[in-house]
Amino acid sequence: MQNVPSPTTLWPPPAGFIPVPSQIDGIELYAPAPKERPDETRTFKCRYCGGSIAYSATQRQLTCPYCGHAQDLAAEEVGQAADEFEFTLETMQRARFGWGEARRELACEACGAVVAVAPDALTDTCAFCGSHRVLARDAAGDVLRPTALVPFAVDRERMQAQVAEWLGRGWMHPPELRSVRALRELAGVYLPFWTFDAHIQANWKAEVGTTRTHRYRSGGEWKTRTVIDWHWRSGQVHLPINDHLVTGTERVSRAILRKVAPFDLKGLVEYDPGYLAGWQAKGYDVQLQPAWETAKGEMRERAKRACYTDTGSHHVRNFQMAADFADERWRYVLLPVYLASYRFDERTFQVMVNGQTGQVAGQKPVAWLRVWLAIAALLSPGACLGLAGLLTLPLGGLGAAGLVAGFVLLVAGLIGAIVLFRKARESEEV
Amino acid sequence: MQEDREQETRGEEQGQDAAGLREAWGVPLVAVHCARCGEAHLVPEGAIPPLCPACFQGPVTPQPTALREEPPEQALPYRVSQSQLAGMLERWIRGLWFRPAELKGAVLAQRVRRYLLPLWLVDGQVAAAWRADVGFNYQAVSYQDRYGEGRGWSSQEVQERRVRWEPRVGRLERAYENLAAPALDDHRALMGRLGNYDLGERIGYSSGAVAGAAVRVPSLTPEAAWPGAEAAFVQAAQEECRQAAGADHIRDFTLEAQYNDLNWTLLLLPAYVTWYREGERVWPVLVNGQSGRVNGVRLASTRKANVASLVLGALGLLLFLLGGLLALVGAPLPPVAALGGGLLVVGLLLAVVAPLPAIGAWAFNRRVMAGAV
Repeated sequence: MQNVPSPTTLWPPPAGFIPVPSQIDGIELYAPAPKERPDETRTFKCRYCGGSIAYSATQRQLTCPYCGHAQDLAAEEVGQAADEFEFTLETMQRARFGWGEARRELACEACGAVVAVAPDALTDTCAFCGSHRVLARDAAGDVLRPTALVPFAVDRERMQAQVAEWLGRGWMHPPELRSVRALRELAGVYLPFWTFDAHIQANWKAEVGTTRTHRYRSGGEWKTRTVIDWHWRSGQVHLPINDHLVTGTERVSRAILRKVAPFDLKGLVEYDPGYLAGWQAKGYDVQLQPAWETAKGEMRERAKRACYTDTGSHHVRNFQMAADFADERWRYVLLPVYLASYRFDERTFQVMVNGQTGQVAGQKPVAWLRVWLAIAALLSPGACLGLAGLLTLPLGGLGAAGLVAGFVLLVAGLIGAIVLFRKARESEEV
Repeated sequence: MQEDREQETRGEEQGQDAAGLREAWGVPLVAVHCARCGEAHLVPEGAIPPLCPACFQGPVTPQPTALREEPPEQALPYRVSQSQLAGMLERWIRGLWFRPAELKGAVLAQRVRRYLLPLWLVDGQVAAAWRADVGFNYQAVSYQDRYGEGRGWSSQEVQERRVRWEPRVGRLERAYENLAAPALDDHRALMGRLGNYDLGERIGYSSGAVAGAAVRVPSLTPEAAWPGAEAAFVQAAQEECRQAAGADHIRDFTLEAQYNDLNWTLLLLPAYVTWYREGERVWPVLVNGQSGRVNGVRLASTRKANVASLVLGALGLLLFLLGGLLALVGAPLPPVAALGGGLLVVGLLLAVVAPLPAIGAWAFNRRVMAGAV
């Protein structure tokens, strides 16, 4: 290649380009260097004292707990512009880079949860069920590497106090919860999520009803009635869907997760193993394809609702639609939560804290005696008044009024009792 | 490179006389010029055609022409023989209404003449830096879901082919051979009419290749043909860079190159030319001597169409008059009056449609000539 004119506007190659194999002799090729190297693993040790360093949620840096040395992370905040992939085998293989650092797995024999931890992590309890029956093993390297993550932004110690305060809140729970000693330390865990984008073009066709009032004479009187006129209508709806979130694990309660949501995906940063230093990370156990099926089902229901809205009427029948998906993309992200479990009355309860916003939710045992007393208190005024009205009914109007008022109060009390009962049930529900 | 091209063109500026041509080309040839289109041809000595073989509009006169000393190095052999031409030309004419008297396969085949078109072939070494976007095909999965009341949802997976574009830069040092570069100003127009040639069939030049033929003299010297040759080099390099990258597509290809050891050879492409007369003009018809593709302007005879219109008009008038007469005479006899009325209507109809042949032929010729332009 000595004869090649040099330097030219085309030569040498731009920064970041590396030689790649050519299939023809006499032709050199340079391509942009890949962003990440799959075989690279990193260890996180303090460069001064050699101690294990960890990502600090308060300082937003890698910090050494022994000598206090702090080190910045290079990853950029990318928000919703974080890399996304199409549904191709090739891109899935390209994303198959693993954790990017040496990690070990803790497999819980009690609940089956598997979390990835740093090799020197001392944790011996399951963050999901609190069991000590955990087995340590090397993490599998053939999992997809996360594209981005939302780093922890709330401090563990502060949240510990807030969780204790949250546990003691509420009259329907046992007062002993205020001093529950079985609450273990909050474990910061990055949970796996899939995000999906798609553009849906939905074409719908249905019989749409319009109402009109019709006056007619019957039995010598004028009467009115409402008539629905049905007409075939069709329309088209364009629905862009961005970052539809699907949980990548079945090991956490979806109900609790819904209560600590939402997560602000504008806070996404490019994946850097440094953010995982000192924290646990849960690999996905819901694979991409089933997660996409879930997301697709939810998306098309959204499209169906949008089509129903597009009909402009409450009267729709023989509805049919076709939803064409385009530009389907996915990414695998990690979102931060604190998990803790505690035992009360021989039962295990789970608590979860949104590691980005500090929202607390979880299971709390219910003092059912208090709840039943409250329900009785709600029902008794109506029951008593109604009974009194019934007894005084022979006296005439006063009795009838008491009966009606009692009935109204009983219905109101019943509604209140149902709400209370459901709330109590939800509080214990996983 | 400049020296190479100067060396190649040396001698081209001098006009060659008949003796020089005979010595170089191996057959007695004479250079003629068209007074109308200005094109130069080499034609057999003693068989100078009355009209220019290219435009068939102007007379030709013998006149020395600027031509390199060497004869062509290569030629493509004729694959279509003159005996096959009558049938090919007849198929080309088929379906034409009011065809001119001279537009017949046999007549055109009788007038046919072998016609050779020059083309430069360039060899050279290329040393270059390049940049492009290369595209890789990949399959992506998409979905089409349908919903119907009572049927619920059904989902269909659709595979789509998409292209992923990636930038590449590189260097190239390659030798290319026999890249085609135009030797005529109107090369692109001629190839558009004749279609492509398979250059892989070329053979060495022999005097028999030009015997009895009219040969277009190159209007572009190698120096003037260089932009076309350079485009061919870039095209070849682009294709090789795509292959080197293992890509399916390439776009935005930029090359900064040095060209060395350029070697130009002249190739003769085989064609036939014939003609027919319609109206005041002579219309040429070209045939690709390799593929048999026929190209020319197929005109309808306006004279024949006008005669047809006149005959129809006259017939209509005659029937109209006869019908009128019968209607008058046969007033007391209803059958005669009815016959007269019918003739009146037929005559009127014929008079109405009578101009159609003339108008149709005129419109057809107008459209054909607009397409030919």
